[in-house]
Amino acid sequence: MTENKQKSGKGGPRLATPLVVPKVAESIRIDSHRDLVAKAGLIAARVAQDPAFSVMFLSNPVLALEAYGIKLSPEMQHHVLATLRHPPKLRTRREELEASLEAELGVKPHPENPKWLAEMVFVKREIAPRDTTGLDPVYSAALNADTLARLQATRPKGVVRYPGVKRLPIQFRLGVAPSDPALRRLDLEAELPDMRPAKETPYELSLEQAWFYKDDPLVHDAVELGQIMRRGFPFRTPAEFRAIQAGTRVDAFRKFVRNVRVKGFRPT
Amino acid sequence: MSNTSNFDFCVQFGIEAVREVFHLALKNEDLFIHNLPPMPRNFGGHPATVSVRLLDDQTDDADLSFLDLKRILFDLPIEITVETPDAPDPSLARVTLSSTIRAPGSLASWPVDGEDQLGINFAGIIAADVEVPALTGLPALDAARFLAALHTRFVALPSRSFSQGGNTLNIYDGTRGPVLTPPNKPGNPEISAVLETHGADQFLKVTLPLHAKITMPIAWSSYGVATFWRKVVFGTGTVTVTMETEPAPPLRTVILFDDNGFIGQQVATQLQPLLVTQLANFAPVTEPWFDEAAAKELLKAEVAGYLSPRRFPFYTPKSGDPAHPLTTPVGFLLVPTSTLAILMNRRTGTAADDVAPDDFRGADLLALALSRAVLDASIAEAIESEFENLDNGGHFISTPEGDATLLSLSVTPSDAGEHGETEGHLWISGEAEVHIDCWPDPDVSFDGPIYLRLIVVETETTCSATFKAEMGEFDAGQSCCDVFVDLLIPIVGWIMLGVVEHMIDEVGGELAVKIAGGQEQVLAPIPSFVQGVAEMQACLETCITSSQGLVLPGKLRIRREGTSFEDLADDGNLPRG
Repeated sequence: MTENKQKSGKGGPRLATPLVVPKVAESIRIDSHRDLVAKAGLIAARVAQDPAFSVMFLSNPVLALEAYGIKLSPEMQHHVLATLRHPPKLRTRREELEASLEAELGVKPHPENPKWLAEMVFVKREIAPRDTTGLDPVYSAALNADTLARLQATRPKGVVRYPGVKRLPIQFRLGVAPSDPALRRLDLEAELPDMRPAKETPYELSLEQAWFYKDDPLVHDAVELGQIMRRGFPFRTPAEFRAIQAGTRVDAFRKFVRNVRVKGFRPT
Repeated sequence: MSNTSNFDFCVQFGIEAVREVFHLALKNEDLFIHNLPPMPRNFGGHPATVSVRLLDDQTDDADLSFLDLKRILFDLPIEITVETPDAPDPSLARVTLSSTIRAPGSLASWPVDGEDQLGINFAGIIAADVEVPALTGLPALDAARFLAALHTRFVALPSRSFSQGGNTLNIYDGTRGPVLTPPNKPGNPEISAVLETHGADQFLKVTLPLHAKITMPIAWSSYGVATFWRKVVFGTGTVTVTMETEPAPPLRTVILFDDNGFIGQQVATQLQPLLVTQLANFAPVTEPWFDEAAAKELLKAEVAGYLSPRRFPFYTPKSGDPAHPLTTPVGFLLVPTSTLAILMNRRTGTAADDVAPDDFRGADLLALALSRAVLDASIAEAIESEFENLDNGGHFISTPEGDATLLSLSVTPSDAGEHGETEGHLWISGEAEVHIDCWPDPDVSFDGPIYLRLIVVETETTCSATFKAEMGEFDAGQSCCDVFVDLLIPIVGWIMLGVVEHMIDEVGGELAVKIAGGQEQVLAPIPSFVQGVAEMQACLETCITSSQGLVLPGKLRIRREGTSFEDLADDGNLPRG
C-alpha cells in the first residue's frame, strides 16, 4: 500500500483537477428518514445536474450533500454516517465488542488509540511486554482459495522440453509477489510466534503490535474492534474534504472514481 | 510498425548473442569442418589439389555483422593450399593463400526432429557473393623455385650423356645423378638460374655445366657451360618454363667451352642443336601461380564451395505439446540497432505479409514482446474467469466491508503519456453498483492506472522475478481502499504471471519445475538449447507496458553445449594418466 505524504489543505501542491462546487438556487432541509425518502428524487436530480462533484460522496456524504444544497439535521447526519460506515453484520459485531469490552474494562474502548491500547495491555491486563523485534503479524492472503484455484488453472503446465544436461548453474524463477500486509487481513486465528520478554515496556501499541498479545481474550477483542473501526468508511473531516475537492490531496476514490450516480426511490 | 508485427510474440537478441552462438557453432566440427581434405582441381589443363582450412582463434577470429533484413555478413578467416602434383617437387611448390573473406548467410528455417528451427544457411552462395578484401600468400616469381625444379628434373632425366657421330656430350648438376665419364669438373659446378626480362617477357636464364669429347676428325675434349633462356609463361593457376622451346635470337642457347679456341668454337656450334633437343626433356617445369586477381577468384570459388552446404541453428523452439504446435519462427535483422528479431506464431496474413518488427530491445541483450492482441485476449479470459457473471447483469462481490455488483470492467494497456501518466500502465475502468442500506444503490464509475513491476532478486545461482501490480500514488491508508486494491491488484499480478508463462510456453521456453506451493516456477524464458551448438539461460529483468502489449527485457548467458575440458575438471572426471 502506498501512502503519500502530502498535507491536506488548499495550499499544497495540486495533484488532481479541483472540483467545482455545484451552484444551487435554494437549500433543501432533511430532518427525518421519511423526509429523505420523500426528497430522494430531488436529490438525485441535483446530483445528476453536476455529476463531476458526485465523487465527493465517497469522501463524506453529509458534506457532499451540503455542497449540493441538501442540509441534514444532526440526527440525520448521524443516521447517514452510521448506516454507511459499516454493513449491518460488521455494525452488529462492533456494537457487541464495544459493549463487552466496556463491561470488562470499565471504560469505553479506544483501540484506535495506541496509548490506550498500551495501557490496556500492560496496566489493566498486566501482561509482560514481549520482544517483537523482527517479527511481523500474520496476514491472510488477499485472494481466497477459490480465486487462487481459478487463477492457477489459467497458467500453462510445466513441460520439460529440453532434457539435455544443463551446465549453466543459473535458474530463473518467476512468480507473483505476496500481497502487501493490510490491517483488514490481520489474521486473528493464526498462531503466535515464540517471543522473549522485552526489556522495556512500550508507551504505545499499534493494532499490529497488539496482535502479538492476542492470546489474551480481551486484547483479542480489542484488536478485532480496532480492525472493524479501521475498516469503516473513511469519512473525511471538513478540512480533508476541502483538500480532496481542491485536488491538493488524493485518495483512492478521488484517483479512481469518476462519478457516483445517486438514484431516487422507485415509486411503489 | 509494432513490436510483434503480424505475429503474437517476438524475441530479440543483440548481435553479441548472435556472435557468441556463431563462434560456438564454428567450434562444432560437424557443422563447420575445419580442414577439408585435398580436392582435385585443374588449372588450365594442369591438375592440382586444393585444401581448405577454416580458422577462428585469437589471432584469426571470425566475426559477423548484419547486412540487411535477411542476411548476415560473415568474416571468415580461410586458408587454401594449392599443390600441382606434376610439379617436380610439390612440397617446394605449394602456395597457401590466406584471407579473411566476407560471405553472406541468410536467415532460414528448417525442421529438426519435427520442429522448425531458425538459423543461418549458406545454401545458394556463389563465388560472386564472396568478397576477398585482402590477401596474403601470393606467390612471388622466384628463380630459386624454378632452379629447385630443374635440379629435380635433372635427376629424373632419362640420360645425361648424349652421343652424335662418335662424339659425346655430358651435362652435369653438381653431384646429382649417376657419375659420368668423365665426372663433373673439379668443384662440381651446379645448374644455376636467374630471371631476366627481355622486352615484355620474362625468361629463365640457365647455366648448365657440360663436357664434350670429340674423336672425329680429331681428338679434343673440354669442360664448359651452356647458357640458355627459356620463356616463363603464366597460365591459369600455374606458371611454366617452356623448356622445349628455344627462343629467337639473341636468346639462343650458347655453349662456351673452357678451351675456347677455334676448335672449341666449332664444336660448340656443332653440338648446340643436340643440346637444345635434350633440354626439352627437362619439361615440364610448372609451378602453382596466382596473381592477385586469380588468387581472389580461386578463393571466392573455393569458399563458396565450402560454405554452400553449411548451416547452423540459432533458435530451436520445441512446443512439447503435440496439441499446441509452434509455427515457423521467422527472423528479421534490424540493421540500425544490430538486433536479431524472431517472430513466433503468425496471427494474421501469410508469409508474404510478414514485415520486420520495431526494435524494442534497447540496450538489453535480450527482450521478449507479447502482442497487444494476445494481451487483450489473456486479460479478457482472466476477467471472465474471475468475474464470470459480468456479461449477465453483473458479478456480485461480497466482502465483510460491503457488497457490490461489478457491472463492467476493462483493462487497457496504455502508453506513457496517456491518461496523464508518465509511464506505461494498464488503464482500469469499470462500473459497479454499491449496495447500501436505506437508499437506492448508487452506481460508481471508476478508472485509473495500474503499474506492472517485475521485482528481481539475484543470487549467484538464481534470478528470481516476481510480478507486482501497483496502483498510482494516493493516500490509501483506509481499509475500504484496501478492499478496492485487494479486488484488483493481486488478480492483475496473477493475470500477468499467466500471460508471461503462456508467452514463454509459446516461444519455446521451458516451464519446468514448480516450487513454493505452485506460485513460483523455475523456467527458461527462451529455449535452453540451440541444438548441437549452445546452452542458453535468460533472466527477465523488467516488464514494460505499452499500447503495443508487454515487453520483458533481460539478460542472457550462453555457453557451449556438451561437456568441455573444464566441465570434466570440475566434475573430477579428467582421464588419469
